[in-house]
Amino acid sequence: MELLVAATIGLLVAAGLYRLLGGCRVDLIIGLILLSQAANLVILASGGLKSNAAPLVGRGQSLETLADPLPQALVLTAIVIGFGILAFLLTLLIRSSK
Amino acid sequence: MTSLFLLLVLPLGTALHAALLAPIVRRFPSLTGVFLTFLFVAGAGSLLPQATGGAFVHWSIPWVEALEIDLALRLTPFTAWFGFLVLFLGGCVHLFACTYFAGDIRLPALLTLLGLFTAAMLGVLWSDNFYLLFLFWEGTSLLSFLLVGFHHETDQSRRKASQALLVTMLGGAALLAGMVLLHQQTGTASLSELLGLVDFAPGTAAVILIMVGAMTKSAQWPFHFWLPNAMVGPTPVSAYLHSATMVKAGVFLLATLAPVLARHPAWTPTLVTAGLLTVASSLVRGLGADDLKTLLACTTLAALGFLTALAGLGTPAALLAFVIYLTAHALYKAPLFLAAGNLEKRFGTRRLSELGGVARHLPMTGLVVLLSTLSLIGVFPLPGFLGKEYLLKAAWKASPALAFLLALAAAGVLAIGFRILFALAFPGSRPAEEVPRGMTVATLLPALGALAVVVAIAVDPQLLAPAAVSLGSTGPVELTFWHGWTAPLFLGLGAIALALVLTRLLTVLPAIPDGPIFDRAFDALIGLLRRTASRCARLLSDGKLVTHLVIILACVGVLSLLSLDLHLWSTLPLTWRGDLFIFLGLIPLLIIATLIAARSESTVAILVSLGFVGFLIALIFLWFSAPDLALTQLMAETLILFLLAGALAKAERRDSSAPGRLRLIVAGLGGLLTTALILKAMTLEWDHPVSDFHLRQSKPAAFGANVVNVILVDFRAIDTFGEIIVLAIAAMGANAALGAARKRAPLPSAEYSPLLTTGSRLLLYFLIPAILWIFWRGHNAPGGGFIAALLAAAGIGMSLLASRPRYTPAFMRKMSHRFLVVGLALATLASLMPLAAGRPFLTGLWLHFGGLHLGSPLLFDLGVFFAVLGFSMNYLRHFHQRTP
Repeated sequence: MELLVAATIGLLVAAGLYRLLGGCRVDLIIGLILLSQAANLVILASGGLKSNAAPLVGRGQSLETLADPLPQALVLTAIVIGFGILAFLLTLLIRSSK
Repeated sequence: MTSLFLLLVLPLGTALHAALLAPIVRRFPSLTGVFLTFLFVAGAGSLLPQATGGAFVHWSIPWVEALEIDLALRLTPFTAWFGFLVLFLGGCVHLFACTYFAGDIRLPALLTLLGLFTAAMLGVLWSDNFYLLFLFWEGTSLLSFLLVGFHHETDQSRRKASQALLVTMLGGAALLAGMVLLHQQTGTASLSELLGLVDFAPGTAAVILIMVGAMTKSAQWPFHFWLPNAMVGPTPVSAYLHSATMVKAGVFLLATLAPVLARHPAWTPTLVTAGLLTVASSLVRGLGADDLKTLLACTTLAALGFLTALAGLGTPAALLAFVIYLTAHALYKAPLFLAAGNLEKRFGTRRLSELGGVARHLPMTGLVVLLSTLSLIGVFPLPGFLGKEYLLKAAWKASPALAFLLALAAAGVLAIGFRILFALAFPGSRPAEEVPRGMTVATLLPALGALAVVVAIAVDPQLLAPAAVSLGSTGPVELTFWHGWTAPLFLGLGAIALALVLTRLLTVLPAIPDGPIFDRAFDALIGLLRRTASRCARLLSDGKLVTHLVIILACVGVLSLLSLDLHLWSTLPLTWRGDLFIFLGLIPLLIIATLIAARSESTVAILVSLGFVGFLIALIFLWFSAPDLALTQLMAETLILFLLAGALAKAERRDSSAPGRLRLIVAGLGGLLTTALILKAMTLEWDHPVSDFHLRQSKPAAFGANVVNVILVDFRAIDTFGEIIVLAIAAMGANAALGAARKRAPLPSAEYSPLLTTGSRLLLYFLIPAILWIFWRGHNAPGGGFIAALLAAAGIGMSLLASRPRYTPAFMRKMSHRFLVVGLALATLASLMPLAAGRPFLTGLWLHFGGLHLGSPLLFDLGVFFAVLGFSMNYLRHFHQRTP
């Protein structure tokens, strides 16, 4: 399971790098999208992977069995900030291709 | 003590005065000159009581205490005497400059630089703290660069000024390193404390570094080449640099530290050898030269060589000789340089062969030249005579052989003096009138100073005794003109005789070719440095992004490779759970989508595959117990696709790409490395004190069951606050880059599907309660401000695609700005409210209604909602208008 997830993330990183080195600006943006997806998964995976253990307290589950909430909070902000960065990059892309 | 501080500020004040009152300075140059000279000479005069018998003064206020850098000044009779020379000659130079540059628009600039330079030089003399001294030291280097390169419009001037700067700054770096070493070794950064250490053996590295620093400053062999080149500066600058300042800073430091550092075995041999070699190389250059300023520069070099040798000896007799030699040199070199300026101004040439007999036609200048050259040659009873006498005496005491060598070297210098004397005083005749009075007075003043010193010493042989004692001299320190028929006297007379013969020979023998080997070596070195740098730059930066990326990625890869501990891998928790098969269905899809996204060239295929990747990752988030992430990811993906569709359609195709094989290799290695690093991260077992705290405290402290949301809006709300501010800035950036919406023409009406138009309206009615519900439940279940805002933005995007008439560009612009402002305001309010209640910033304030908890984090979350919504709408409007 862990191996599979790690390999998948590796594939995402490889795809992102491949795109990044494509040389044109569109490639750059697609590469960054893929890399940031991979980075989000890396953060989540580094906190340990658990199923059926959403960090919602007070539902009878003991705290030790719940998933680590900290990486999730980090990734949530990372997704939104990543969205912001991407939007700004696209702005620059439009601006430069005028 | 205040007076010392005032004296240091005085030249700064004149610099400021020249800079601020530039029009007045330009209008009344001679008046300014007289005024400044009066100030400087008065300041110099106020130092005389200190110099001839005053006690030591010490003044210090802390500055950077952690580094032991204090604003510490010390005044000893010697530094007071040196300060007197600096200020006195500074006054003469200012007067000269005001006349020399009268009518020149750049006079105020020159005066400003000269004032700053004087202050820096005084700082070097009076600093008691190593680092303060270093700052002033670098100040003199920098300012002398500006002064030497004052005529920066000529290429030669720039080249030579930067050469001086490079050499002296290099030495400055060595000096700093040496001082840090000394500081570490002794534990004190105070010069006077260092000099008070009785049984301290200085370290070799420190001694060598300090010697290098001082030798570059004082242009000692092998760093001597910059000084003759520095004569491209204006005449007053050369006069000042060569007489009392700049180059004297190096020998000053050597002499000051000599009592302590001469204990090191390398000190004396190195400095005496360097001094002698400097004299020798100055003779090679000077004996054949014809340019008056070059000749004078070479005698400066020689004098510095003698002074370095004296500091190298470091004996009490040598330090006494140092004081008188330094004084004598300053007082004859300044008038000689200024006189050279007068001659050049009047006759338009500095060539000795063309200036024959001019002394007779410029009576005052001629007199000064005669007097100063005689002092240079060391004719009784001028100060130069005393200097030479005590130099040879000190050397004789140390070693007769050394005294013999010094006398031999001195003969060469004297020959240069004779050449100047004979050429200017005797043959030839040119009609001329006297130069402007200011210049004559400025030239005359230091020469008169030399005479005054002679008279004063004749009256009171102890005049310079306090200065010599404070420098470290002991024993008999009075200066007398007659010591009987001693060996040094004969050596001196012999040197004069030899010099006369040499002068005679020089007229017969062909001149030694001027071979500036060191100059050329320096240029070659700098050229090599430049070529290497540009080659490196060309290698690393070919203007292609791909090259930069490959270099960066390679560095990151190597660094992370180093952190892989392969032996830990045996503990990898490989689990084969029952849900694997469900998971197996998801992964192949993700792999296919990723490969398409990586390889595809068509915009539609890229969009679809990227969408797939995003949605599948959302499912992975969901699978691994992160419902909030899954929701956020879904919404963000929707919006990203919307924006991409708008942007990619217009973007250009590839221009330069990395070679296909390189792309594959980098991508493959990167992927493998990432996999390995994740596996490694999974093998590590660590405590989660922070996460455990959040899990435990979420319900009791923040009344929320959804720990992720509680972290975002309560525990770590300040991070979120920063994030929405960044989003607002990014929104403004887009507005700046793409311009205001209302300036653009309205969109052409396109064919829209009626199904979509009607459907989107229906959907929106359901969406509004859903948004409210998701926002509200966020604190206890998956949801919250981020997700609700992205959902709302997705709905608006949908409406835009359906072209609902309500969503005009102007409306979108207005609403997005309002939402951003409201969001930031609400978040700020929520974070400031606790302050009013006397609690720290961003503390949660709560009201409880039975089971219902209302608090400031909820308000904060509302702020997040509006900010993210405003941000998203702002981008939607920009990109929607670009969708074809």
